[in-house]
Amino acid sequence: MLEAIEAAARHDYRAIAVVMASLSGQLSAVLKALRRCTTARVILLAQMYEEPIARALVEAGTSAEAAADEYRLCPTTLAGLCHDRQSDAEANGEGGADGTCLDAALETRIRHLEHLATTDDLTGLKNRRYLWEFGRQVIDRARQSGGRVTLLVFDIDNFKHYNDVYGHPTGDEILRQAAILMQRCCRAHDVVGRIGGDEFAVVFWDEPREPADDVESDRRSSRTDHPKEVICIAKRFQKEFGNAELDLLGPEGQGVLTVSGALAGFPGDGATVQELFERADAALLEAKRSGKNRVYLVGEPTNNIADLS
Amino acid sequence: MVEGDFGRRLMAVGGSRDQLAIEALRLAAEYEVEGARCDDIYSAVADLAGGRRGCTLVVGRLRELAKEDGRFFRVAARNGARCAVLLDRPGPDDRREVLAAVRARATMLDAIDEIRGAVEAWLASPGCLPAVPRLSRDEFRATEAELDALLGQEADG
Repeated sequence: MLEAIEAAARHDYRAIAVVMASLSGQLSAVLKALRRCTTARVILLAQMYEEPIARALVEAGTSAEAAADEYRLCPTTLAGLCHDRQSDAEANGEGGADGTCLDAALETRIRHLEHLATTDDLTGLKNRRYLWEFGRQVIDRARQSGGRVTLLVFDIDNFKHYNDVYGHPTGDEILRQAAILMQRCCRAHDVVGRIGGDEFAVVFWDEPREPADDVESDRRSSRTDHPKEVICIAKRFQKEFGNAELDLLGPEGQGVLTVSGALAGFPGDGATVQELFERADAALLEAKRSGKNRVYLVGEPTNNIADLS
Repeated sequence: MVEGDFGRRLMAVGGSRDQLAIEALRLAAEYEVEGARCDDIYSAVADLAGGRRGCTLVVGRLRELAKEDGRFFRVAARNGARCAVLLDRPGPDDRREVLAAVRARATMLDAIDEIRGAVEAWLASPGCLPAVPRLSRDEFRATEAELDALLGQEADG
């Protein structure tokens, strides 16, 4: 990377692509260095699990010390990147080298289709397709690095009742509120998705960090194998959702919303997203049968997170 | 006191609270040479390669300067810079890093107060070379053997 920074400082490049996965803990330092020595556009090449970080770095804007101009999700190809850059040049009136550049409008349409293919239209959350692929990637990564991934599956108690009594627009609003609240409760790198109907899922995972995890055991709840943060997030969400004020429900409908859910963790509860989902879904069903308004831990003797300190 | 030399530059690599960086910048001011601080080797390379070519002394801790298999030393040499490295009590695990610094002919510092001597020697030198002369094979072997004895480890076969 040092030689790449040296070259970036010496030559007048139009764009520099940075492979995020190769940098681990050095990403911020490298981006700062590039900002310091070049005006080239910095494009992050991100794996899906790196997308929240990549997005944050792009949204930080060029005034930030460590920032990027755009990111592309892998897999992408060098030819694709070159095409895009050529397309930018064409759009800026700089002209392409061989006159075969991709039409900018077509590129915009492709990105729009990508967005549609991975996003839930009602809530703006990621959809099931995205969540499963994302989960697959972070589990692969956790398998190699010894990390942890936790899947939370939850749904809104008595959702059908609200839909039937108050109408579908109110039901939709409840779903949107649940999405907003869950995103607010989660860490920036966790991914929240709607997997259908009133069922949601969250993939919690260990963000890339320096290898100093002798504190790892402290980050887990003393009575379960799940990370403390995840349990705190689930508890906070339950509480905030219960306190949510929805005008559409009228005065009698305030503070009555509850959720049931279940947490399943890799590697303890399953080796794939599908396995984690199946186990969490079974525990979610159990939580419903046991009276609702509870989040169960898969495979734990003290099953409800409310019982955990 | 050595007279100020506006053609020279003292670059400290380290955080704003790093005592080594603070002392290096203090000495730059004392000897009236340009002083600069970079948080890490990546910023240091951006600065060395992007700025004017000149005579730079880079001061930093071994664990930072020797990151990325000691490549920083080679980049620094290509850009006409010399390095002074604070060893920070190296152990056998730091053998590769120390060797990288030795190969680059970096000045080794055992304590922060040794920077002054390194800076004065650098200021007294006739000028900066475009590249640091390479060690001869024999010189390097001797140095490696000395280093192994120092770190308590056998040399590679």
